[in-house]
Amino acid sequence: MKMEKIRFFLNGKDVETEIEEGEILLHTLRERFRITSVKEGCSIGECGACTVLIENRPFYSCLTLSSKVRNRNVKTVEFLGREGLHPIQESFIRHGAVQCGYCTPGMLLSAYSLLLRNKTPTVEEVKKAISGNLCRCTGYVQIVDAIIDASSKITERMDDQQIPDRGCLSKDEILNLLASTENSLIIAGGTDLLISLREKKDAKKFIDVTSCKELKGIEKGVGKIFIGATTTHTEISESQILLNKANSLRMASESVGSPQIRNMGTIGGNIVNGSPAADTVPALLIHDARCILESKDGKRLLPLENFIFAPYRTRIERGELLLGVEIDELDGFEEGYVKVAKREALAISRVSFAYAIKEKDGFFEELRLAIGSVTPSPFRARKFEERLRGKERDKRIVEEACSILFEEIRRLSGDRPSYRYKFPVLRDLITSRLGR
Amino acid sequence: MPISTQIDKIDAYDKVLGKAKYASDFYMEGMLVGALLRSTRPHAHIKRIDVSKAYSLEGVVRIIQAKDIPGENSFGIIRKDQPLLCDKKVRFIGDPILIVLAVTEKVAKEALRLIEVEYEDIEPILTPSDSERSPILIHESGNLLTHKKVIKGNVEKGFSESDIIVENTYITTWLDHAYIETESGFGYMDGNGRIVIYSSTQNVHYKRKEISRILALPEEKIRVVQATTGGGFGGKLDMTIEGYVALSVYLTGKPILIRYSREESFLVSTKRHPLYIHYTTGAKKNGTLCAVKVSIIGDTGPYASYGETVCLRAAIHATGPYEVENVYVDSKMFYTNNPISGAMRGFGVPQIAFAHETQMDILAESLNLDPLYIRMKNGLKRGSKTATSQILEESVGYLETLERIKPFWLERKKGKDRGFGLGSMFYGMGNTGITNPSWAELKLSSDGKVVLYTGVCDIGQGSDTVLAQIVCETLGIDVSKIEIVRADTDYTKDAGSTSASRQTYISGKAAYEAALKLRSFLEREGFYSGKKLKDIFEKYKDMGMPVFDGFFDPPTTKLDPETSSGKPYATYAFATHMTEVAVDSSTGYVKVLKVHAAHDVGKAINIQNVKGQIYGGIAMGIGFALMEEFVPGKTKSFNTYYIPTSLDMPEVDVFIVESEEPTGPFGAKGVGEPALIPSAASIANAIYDATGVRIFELPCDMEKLKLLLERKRERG
Ligand SMILES: Cc1cc2nc3c(=O)[nH]c(=O)nc-3n(C[C@H](O)[C@H](O)[C@H](O)COP(=O)(O)OP(=O)(O)OC[C@H]3O[C@@H](n4cnc5c(N)ncnc54)[C@H](O)[C@@H]3O)c2cc1C
Ligand code: FES
Ligand code: FES
Repeated sequence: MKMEKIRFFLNGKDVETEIEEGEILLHTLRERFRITSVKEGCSIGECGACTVLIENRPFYSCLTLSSKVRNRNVKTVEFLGREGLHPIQESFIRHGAVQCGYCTPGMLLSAYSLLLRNKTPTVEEVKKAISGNLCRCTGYVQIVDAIIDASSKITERMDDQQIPDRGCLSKDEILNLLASTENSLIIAGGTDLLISLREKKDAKKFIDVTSCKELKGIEKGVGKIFIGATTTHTEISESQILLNKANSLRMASESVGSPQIRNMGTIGGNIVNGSPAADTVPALLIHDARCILESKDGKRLLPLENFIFAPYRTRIERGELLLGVEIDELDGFEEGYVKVAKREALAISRVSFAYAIKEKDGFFEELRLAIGSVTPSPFRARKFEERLRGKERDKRIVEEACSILFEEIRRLSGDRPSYRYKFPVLRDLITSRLGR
Repeated sequence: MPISTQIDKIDAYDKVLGKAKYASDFYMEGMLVGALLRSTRPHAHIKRIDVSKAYSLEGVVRIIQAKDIPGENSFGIIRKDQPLLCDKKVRFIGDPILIVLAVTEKVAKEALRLIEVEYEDIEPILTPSDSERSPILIHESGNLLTHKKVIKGNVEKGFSESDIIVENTYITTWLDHAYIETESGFGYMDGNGRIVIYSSTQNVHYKRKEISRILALPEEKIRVVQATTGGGFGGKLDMTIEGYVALSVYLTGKPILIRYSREESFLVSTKRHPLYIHYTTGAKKNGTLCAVKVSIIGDTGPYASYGETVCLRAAIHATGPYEVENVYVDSKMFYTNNPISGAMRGFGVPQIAFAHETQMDILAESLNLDPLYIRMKNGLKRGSKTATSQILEESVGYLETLERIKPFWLERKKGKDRGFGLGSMFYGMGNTGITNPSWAELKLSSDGKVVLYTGVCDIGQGSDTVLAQIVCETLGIDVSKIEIVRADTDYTKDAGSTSASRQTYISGKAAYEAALKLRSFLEREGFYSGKKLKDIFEKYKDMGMPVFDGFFDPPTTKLDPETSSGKPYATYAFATHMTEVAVDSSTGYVKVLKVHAAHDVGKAINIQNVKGQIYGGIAMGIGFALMEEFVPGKTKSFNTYYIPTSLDMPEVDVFIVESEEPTGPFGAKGVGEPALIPSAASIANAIYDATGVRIFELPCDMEKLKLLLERKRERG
């Protein structure tokens, strides 16, 4: 097994270790550093027991490649307790927020990260911040109380230190690696990829694209916006540039998984993974997103609408890198993203849709609708849009037009048993959101 | 007398600092990691096992099969019908066949892939009704595990006197405990050749007994210690990894770690029993219950586990917390080739509560009575006679729980798509109709402290804290003066398992009894007139420090084999929840907004712990009512088994009712399971209130509810 050396900051200390290719941070911390406060509960990013902070943001260490923390700051609960009980630890004890304690270290770290950024969180904000950490014992009530109570006692601030240089790869280096390395795989956040590789044991060469600056960030152009492929869901949901220009996308990113998943997962990964339930895709579709792809042979632009053509299948070619997406601004539109899922966090969409409406005197001047989780890949409901364009914005009219939508869906995927549920849901939700 | 010492949970310090050691945190030089090969067939004979390829993998140290077991290849809490390793027959997907020991978990898992097993399939039995009819037998003893009846009065006469009869069928499914720590254990052989096991468990003494049978070693050669345990909820009562760790240590002499992956935990951990409940209630126009007839059929899976307990407990609690003159309950458990059903918080009572509470609401509506009123009218009180003809003499706080909820119930304001529901329950503390004793011991230590030796496993619920409080309160000492030695078969006496909400009541009482003895000793020795504990210790250290023990076994009686009449439990807890929900009629999604929870716990020894149990119980109740469903073959991990997140939790107001139980420590009973039991029932009733749709099957997830709403809409 090939080993590589990494150096990083662990609870403030400069440390170095050898890791195997593809090693997971959870295992590095538990086995190489014997930091056993980092717990394993599921290994697939669904419980939060393995939460650590990277640059003070919570990550699931079970889905983080150890090589990713090179030159970065990693914190575990030992950091909080380094000089005796931290106020937030004390508060957890005081409030009875600890039962079996297995979720506790991860929970504390998520809470600490929140309080570094927000000293006066509301109950809802606290609940959201810990929604990626499952607790089976406490029902969360005393945990929330403990965090609220601790918020006034925390004086530390987010150290806004520059995220250290991580030995960046440039875009050209990535393209070269892609062309020259056999069995190579692009990895961004890893939240889809590492799960799909779990049962496959043959070693892979990962090319980590998150260290490439050219793929990151949101940039405004004229009437359009560029979003780099490695922009995370957190960055999108907090983006000021996207505010009022692509609200549905912000909402979609905000609805993804949990705080940890949003800190890790990228928009590029969401697109290239090609899931029918990918939350950002319907929102991108109503903005007529174009995928910008590049390989050694050059660049090309492909409408997202044609890019994902079947579940988990896209038109990306070997050697190609997704640089990002370009979207149209929808200024003056009323936008929304609706996600139907079985619980409030960490839930995959059963049905979703993004819409944008330009209304004039009670009529649809323009209307865009894209549906997720219903067909093999999310799609733009163009027939439906056409039917309603210029029509009165009226509940009854919208509801009638849903039959066109259902025809479009059936044409794409035939009839499915799940439509017994999904069609009435679409009918009711679309009618109430689009109609008046 | 109130408990004056309200203290922080004593185990919380190490837990917040990340220092608490769970079983999988143990490490020893030369440690091997074990992984289990499991059946991929629901029902089959094993024809051949070929391990040769696996043995040639580098890093594989030993492969252990059934033939290597020196003692009995069987275990089971009540019936020893479960093989430790299967050699002839497998009875469910996940049945263990062999253990691979290797230098790392990765190698062990890889080796599993290289092992070939040849099966000869037997037709699997997948429903209780097939099990009843099929000539194919899962065990030689037959497919019926157990059959119990609870009979009181004359149920037919009761129906003939009724003005109204309500008859419905209720169905529940498999649920997983979903503790965040999976089953884990670590073991080694000590210098004296004794086998030491640290495990994630709810009962160390039972585990030692089983290991002793399996290894054919006297119990003295085995030490089982509870590692910090990441939740139990009943799932760590049965043997999980202990037998495999012990056998591996025994055969190799090496330190061994075995930890189930999440997928493995879902596959093999015991589940809540799916119950099919046919429920008929007869009542007078004024709401008085005349007769209750219930048939319960349960799927117990391939092995008995706690099936017999669930069968009987569900039957005994079938009426709910109501006095009914005529009762006939028939309860059966069938073996199937589905996952093993076992103990899970409430032993069948959460399921039956869903049924009796829905019946009460239907009855109230049909008779045009208020749901709270009909519960008041029939509720158990002092002097009431239960379905097992037990007269309740003391500590019957049921009506008080209703009283506490009443002002909120009367003031409730129903908005569009909003609804309110009630759910009530009673629950017997401790094991059913059998002796279930506990011991505690107290000593003084050289550093001037009182040391409590207790066999109780604290699985997070807080027994360490509560027992410490009971001792401190009795002795009049500060908690800083007490130390606890917990759940270690070398040092502590059997306290029974952490289940059936029994530890505060039973082991708490044992600790109290021990403390009384120590107290009179300390009185004699002048502690209360100023002498130091340290000096008292000094005085006795050469003569041998006396040990003060306490014992308690709740007064119960054996039940009549035909009618189950008798006193199955010495005392009962009672509770009522009022739950408010909002239903999104577009999607069928239900959001629980607010819960008022009133619990008669006898006495809250630790108010914060009691509340913690209630909040946690409500979270689990929301899961049971709305989202949790283990689907054999489909559910793999937390991505296919949703449990509530922080955002799914409502606001909760807790009302503690203290109807003191004279046999309990300071009047305490228990709350662990009662916290959960009324929750799902109250949610189901609230959904009806919001939508007019009755729920007869749980979980009522958004898809099921939407389809029910659609059907209603189509009917107009
Ligand atoms: C617990 C959990 C919850 C989740 N919840 C949601 C949810 O609610 N909604 C949702 O939509 N998704 C969800 N996901 C899925 C996932 O988090 C998202 O799809 C995320 O955006 C993927 O991004 P990533 O950077 O982690 O992708 P990765 O896993 O790194 O990559 C995914 C795929 O894209 C390829 N790829 C990545 N970047 C590039 C690039 N720049 N060029 C070419 N190829 C590339 C990779 O090779 C891989 O095939 C969840 C995942 C988990 C584990
Ligand atoms: S172990 Fe569950 S999220 Fe990482
Ligand atoms: S305290 Fe047990 S999982 Fe949270």
